[in-house]
Amino acid sequence: MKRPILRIALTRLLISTLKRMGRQASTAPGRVLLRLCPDILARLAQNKQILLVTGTNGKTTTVRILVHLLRTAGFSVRTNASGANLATGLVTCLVQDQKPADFWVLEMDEAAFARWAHVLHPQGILVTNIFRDQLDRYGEMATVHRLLQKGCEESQPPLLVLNADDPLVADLHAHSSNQSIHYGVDLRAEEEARTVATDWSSDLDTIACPRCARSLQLKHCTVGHLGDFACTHCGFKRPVPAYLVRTIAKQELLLERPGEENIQAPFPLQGLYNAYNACAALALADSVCRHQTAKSLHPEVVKRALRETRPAFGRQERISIPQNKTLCLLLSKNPDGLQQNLILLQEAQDLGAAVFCMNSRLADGCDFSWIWDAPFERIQPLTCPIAVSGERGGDLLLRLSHAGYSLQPNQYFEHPMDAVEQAVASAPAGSCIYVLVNYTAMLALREALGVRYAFNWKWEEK
Amino acid sequence: MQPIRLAHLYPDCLNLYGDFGNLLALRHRAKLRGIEVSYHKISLGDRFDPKAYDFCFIGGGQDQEQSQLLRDLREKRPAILEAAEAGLPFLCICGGYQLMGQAFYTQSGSIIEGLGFLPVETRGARARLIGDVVVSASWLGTGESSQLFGFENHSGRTRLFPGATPLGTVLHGNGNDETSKTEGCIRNHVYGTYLHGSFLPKNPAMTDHLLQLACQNRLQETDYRLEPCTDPLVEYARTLERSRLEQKGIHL
Repeated sequence: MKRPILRIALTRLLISTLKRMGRQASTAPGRVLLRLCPDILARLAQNKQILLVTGTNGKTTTVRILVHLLRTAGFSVRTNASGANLATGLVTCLVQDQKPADFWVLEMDEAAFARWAHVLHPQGILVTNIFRDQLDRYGEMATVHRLLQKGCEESQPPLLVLNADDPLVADLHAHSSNQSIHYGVDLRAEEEARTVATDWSSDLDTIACPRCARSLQLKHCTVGHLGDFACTHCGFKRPVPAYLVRTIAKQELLLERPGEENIQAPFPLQGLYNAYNACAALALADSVCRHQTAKSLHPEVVKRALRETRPAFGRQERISIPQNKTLCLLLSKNPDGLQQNLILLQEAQDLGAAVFCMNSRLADGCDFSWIWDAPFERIQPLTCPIAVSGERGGDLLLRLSHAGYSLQPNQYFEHPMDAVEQAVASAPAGSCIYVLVNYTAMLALREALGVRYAFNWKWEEK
Repeated sequence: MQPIRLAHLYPDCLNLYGDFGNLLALRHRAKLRGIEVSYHKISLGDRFDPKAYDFCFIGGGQDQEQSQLLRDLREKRPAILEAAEAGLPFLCICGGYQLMGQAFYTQSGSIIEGLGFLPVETRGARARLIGDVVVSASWLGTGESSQLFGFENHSGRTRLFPGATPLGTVLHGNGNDETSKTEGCIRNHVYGTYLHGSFLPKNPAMTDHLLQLACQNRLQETDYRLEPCTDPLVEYARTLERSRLEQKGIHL
């Protein structure tokens, strides 16, 4: 394609028209341009410093924190719209704003990453984790590992930031001489008995060593298969993390980083996975900063950016409703995410009621079997009022009752809003109603909640 | 009654598709009748004692883990076959079902020898068969309780040898392959199937059947019958499943 400029201009016109029509314009213009000019992504990436974030869980939140850290440090940063993480979304993002920026932080879907990462010549790549997610769409964890390895190898980024606690991620490398930066979470010092010891749980924690295919030993587990691992056969073990979260209690993180004092930073996002997201973002932002300015991020920059972090679309969003109650939406779309949210609920001081609402449409993954792998048996059953809804409400009733919850058919509601209303009515004043949803259930509920509680849930721009 | 001993073969390798619910369902239905169960994990390198259990479960797994697994299975094969011949109830799902058969012919042309108990063979194919499945298993009884609900996700196409008994007839979805309208295979008390979901929680008639066989094994009384019991929640969940399928245009 000799003259892409005209096509780029046309696409920008399309974006502004769509936006004027009140549409999101987050992927459609990119789809058009990618058709017209297949090498457009490489062209748009020229002369840009690109940082890519990929992996199964935590991409969107990690990108948010990373962008905020870099902006707080004084860099100009642009990024793609929430969830628009396929090639079409990236093109749309890169084409619409040609103003110079220090960094372009892009969230990428794993398959899109394998296919397109090398044409972007990224300055840095960050991989969060590889979990079971939507198996009927992507196949097995080993396949995702291969996809990510391909992307890392082909794009040879100067900075490769990897989760040390995930064997499948820690094993990734860009060159034969592995110069990766590892991050991790180790809460052994502060951990209490929040869980139930039981054999009655799916063995998701055990995975095969990515190097020799024998079973890996997990000496200490943080969540799912993440933790302090070692292979007794080939000797592959958890790399020592350069960036490490030591404590997460009382909504404060204690962070370690190389050659600097520890940072104690307030952090409003709950849950262990958000500690991972914060640590990942810090590792890349700090490394980039050292790479560019030969200085690490100032501790005050880190503290301020983490303190100001707000939840991403559909993740731990809270809205106020009458009687001083709040509603909190928790996205739960795979066994490990759900496990983390159950632990969060169990520890929450303000738990008034819980709603489980889940679908199994294409965007959720059509196979709902994963709900049986969620380790409900390892966590004490919640004692608050429970309401259930969604297309998979029947499966949820069964899952909860098999885990020792005592439920009646009348705790199922055909309409998700009826389940929420029931939960709100049964929750005491001043408490929070936690709503555990998967993707399409969240989209539908968000809209209905907005109408019911006159709340403005605008599709956010970052 | 002494606790029913449930064995889970390779829980750490064959654990891919949310099949753990099958064990939870057996425990749940046993508990409703005041029957205790115990759970035993048997993995690579562990001995499988054919007389030490009352039920055995095998799930499906990732390709990568297969070669090590196949070596281990060859060692356990005599014990597994002895148990199956002696009438121990087995539930084998997806990869476990294929392994219980005679052979698996991969797409690349190699042959993986199965344990050879079920009279079936499987061929790998490019396109995966993915979606809701409903099976009629008339041997389980009359009426709607003999309808089995599940979810399939497999690339293998399984052919039953002449005279082999399928688990049931496909009312919706694919089952063993796209054309035969059969799903799964039964020999002795070994049940092979492609159904995930998990399979047993939503199909209490099937769960009770397996639980009864396990109790018979425990008591060594072939005419032992489980006490009938109903769980309103599971009946309700089946009603919801039926209406979910109807909304997708699947009328049974």
